Amino acid sequence: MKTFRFVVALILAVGLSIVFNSSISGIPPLGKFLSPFHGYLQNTKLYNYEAELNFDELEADVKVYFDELDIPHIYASNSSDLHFVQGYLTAKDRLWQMDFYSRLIYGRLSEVLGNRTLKLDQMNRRIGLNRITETAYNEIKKDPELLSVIQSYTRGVNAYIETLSYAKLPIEFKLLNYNIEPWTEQKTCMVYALLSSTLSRGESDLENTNALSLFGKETFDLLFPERTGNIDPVIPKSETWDFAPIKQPTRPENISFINESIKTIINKPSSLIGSNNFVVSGQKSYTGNVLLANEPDLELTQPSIWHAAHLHTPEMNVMGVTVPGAPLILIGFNDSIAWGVTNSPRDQVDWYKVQFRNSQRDEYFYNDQWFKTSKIIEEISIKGEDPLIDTIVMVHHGPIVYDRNFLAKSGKTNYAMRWVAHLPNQSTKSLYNINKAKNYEEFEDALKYFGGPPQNIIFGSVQGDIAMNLPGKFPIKWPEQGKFLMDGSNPQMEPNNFIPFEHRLKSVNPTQGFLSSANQHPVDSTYTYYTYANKYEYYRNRRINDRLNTLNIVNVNAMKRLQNDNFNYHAYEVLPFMLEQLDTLSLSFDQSAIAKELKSWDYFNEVNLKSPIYFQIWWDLVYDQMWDEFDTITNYELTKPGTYESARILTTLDSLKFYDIVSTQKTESRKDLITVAYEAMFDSLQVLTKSSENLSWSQFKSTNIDHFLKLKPFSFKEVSVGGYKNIVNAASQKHGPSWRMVVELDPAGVKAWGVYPGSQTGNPADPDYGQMVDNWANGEYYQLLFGQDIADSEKVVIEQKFNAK
Amino acid sequence: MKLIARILIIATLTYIVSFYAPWWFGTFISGLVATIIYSSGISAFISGLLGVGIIWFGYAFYLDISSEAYFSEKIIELFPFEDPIVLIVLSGIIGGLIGGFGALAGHTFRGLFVKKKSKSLYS
Repeated sequence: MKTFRFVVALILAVGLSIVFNSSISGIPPLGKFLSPFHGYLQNTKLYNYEAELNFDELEADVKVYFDELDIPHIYASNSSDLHFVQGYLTAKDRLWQMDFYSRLIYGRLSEVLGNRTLKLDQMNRRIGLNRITETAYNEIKKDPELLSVIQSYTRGVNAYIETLSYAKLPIEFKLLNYNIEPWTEQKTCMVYALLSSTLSRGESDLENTNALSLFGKETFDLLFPERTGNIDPVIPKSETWDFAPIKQPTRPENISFINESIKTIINKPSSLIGSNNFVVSGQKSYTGNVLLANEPDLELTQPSIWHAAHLHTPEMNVMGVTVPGAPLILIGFNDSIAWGVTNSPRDQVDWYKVQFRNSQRDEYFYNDQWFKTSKIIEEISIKGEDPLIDTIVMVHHGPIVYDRNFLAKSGKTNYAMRWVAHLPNQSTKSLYNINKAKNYEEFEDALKYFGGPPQNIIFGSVQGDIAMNLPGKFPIKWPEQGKFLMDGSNPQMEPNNFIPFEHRLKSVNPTQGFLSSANQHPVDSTYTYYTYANKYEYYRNRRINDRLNTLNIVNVNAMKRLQNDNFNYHAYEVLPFMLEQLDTLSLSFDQSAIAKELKSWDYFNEVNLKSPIYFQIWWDLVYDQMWDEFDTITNYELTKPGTYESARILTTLDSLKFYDIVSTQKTESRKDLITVAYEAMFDSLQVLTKSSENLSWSQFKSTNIDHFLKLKPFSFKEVSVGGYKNIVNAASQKHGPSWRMVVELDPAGVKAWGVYPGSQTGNPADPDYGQMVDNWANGEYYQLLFGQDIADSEKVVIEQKFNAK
Repeated sequence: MKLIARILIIATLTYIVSFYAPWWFGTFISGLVATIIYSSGISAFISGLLGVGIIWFGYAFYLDISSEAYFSEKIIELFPFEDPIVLIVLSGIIGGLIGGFGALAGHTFRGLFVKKKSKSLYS
């Protein structure tokens, strides 16, 4: 009896501990999670700093000054100590985000998130983000100086990880109930794959193939023109080319593209998110110093994609932002130069249809012969399920992404991906040299190593130079090569050479006194080499150039104002036409009132206005009904024409079969289309104002900065910010300015201002979490603390010493 | 008296040791204390329940009010409750339960070796 009582009590005690230690149907283990000594409440204690820390790994003492934004200013006596501390402090702020990115790159999200991320993991392994990272690491290993940066950073991250007990783990690990793994040197190299996947993977080859076979060439070219209207390219039209181009391939006469219908296409990064940079030379600047501004627009996330730091050694004094997990500074300035990037739309991905000898897929047909394939076996662990074993067949073009095991229905659909990002490159070395560059010559020298993803790299220096460079690896193609799915057995379909570095697109100190970029066409048709991308920006670039042309004298405030400019160029061009076409006779009194309001609107998408709402709903309805023919096609995946192309067609062609509204008996004209859309806009406004009477533009468009796990309490919803897609202040629903930076290259001391929609800390239990969001939304900046010696600045809030043992 | 002493000992030990031990260590402490300071089963259970429960509730309450981030208010949004105090109370209950049953296990363990005083003529 006594024994029985003991056993029962023991089972209850142990059993309860086991139950509360387990995660049941997604709920974190309650005992662990709610224990005040271990669980979520311990995360509220993590923002305390130790004044001194000791490390075996350091060669000399390192001093860190934290300013009021929690930006660390790291003063080290050598590069390896510097990056050790950068790694340590980045991990302290953003460890879970770093782990998340590494799982994204290595296709290991499902291991902790379950099968909801399985397709994403499978795709990322097939397109080879893990292999790209290994290649990047192997390149870095050849360079001892660079390798030491990677190694020191990795050791710094691991030194922080070693201090962590469960209680100190970032909250996301506790919620998802998994533990951090040691950091690796490979993971420190993952940013190249991460950025390439976001920036150089945009294309519509398969959608184009579908559209071509569905509509024919004439309609295809009308809907998806390569260049049209008044393009205002990155490289000013006045630029001339002083090189003799290398021999270029001509389009083979006897070939045609594959006529095939593709139903499901892999997820690609949304294009035309935003991003702009501009630089003004001394001749236009109020102080005579070069002014440079950069704003990369990306998916708005919490924690933010960027982490700021100031890195100081006797050889280097650089400040700016980088992606957590990557050492150095990606966008920023040092005491001599400043640089910034925007994405350059250039086709970097081509698709080839591959024919295998049989279902074993050991051999494939190429150039009238059979060649051997190789195979990669990927095992994807899935939380709560058996792992998925995926075989990736490799041909010389690249990995077979679409096949019978992924997105394709039949064994005959085998598409290989040829992506420039798969090639070895030295972009990290380029960045390392940029960080240390003292003038334009050193900067340009550093660009020789830049392998992508293609960027419009803007430059300004205290010496007074300004420049725009588009370095990277660009295959030389014949016109339309790589625009559609191609025959993988035909060698003529493959590009063989790259545009030489000396023939790259660039402009240095142009007479106009400024340079800018905003994801538009890189260059006009005077450039010898064929350039192509599926989508280009047409509006933000023209607005920026219009302003910079108009302004005779530019100061720092003008730079900031331009970055936050809410002028809706698209509305300015299309709205007067739409109002003119509107059949006002048929409108009711209330309906006319809206048109009257729109007529007096100045085309600025400011936070509190209503007119931008009216215009946007109206335009979206015109667009949707214009291309409603696309929605009736379900066997093909298609991309609809872009905003600019649609507006151009609407304002220039008075009849087109697409103007018809499919769902009605009648055959609508352009005028009908515009009027029907207007009435529908009025109806949806009635519904909208019913639920919220004083709806403003910012509430209507609703810019959200979501946590990676879409956890509402860790996100910032309905941020009060103006602008929109195609507007310089490109804050749309999920994307927007991820870092705004303005630099004045004063020879007496570089000054800089910056802000990003987030905070240094990624810990939602820290009162500073998201501390810059409000200022970011209001277009306000923080002057960044920078200089040789900042120790005595009143902006330094905390000092921390990292001592060598 | 014994009950209060046990509650205090369990609470103090749980507070000191929990920073370095796994979260369930309160159950072990309660068991150990209940083994050493022996009394009735009910008394043992209550001492574990209150000893661990109060210290979990109290420390959770302290951390919650001393944090400027109102973190419990964020976390409660992830649970199907509204008032963040639920988390603090739940913390106390879980601590109490593992403490109580730990103490009971300790008590019954000691019971294995205690001869029941038989009413003897010679006592």
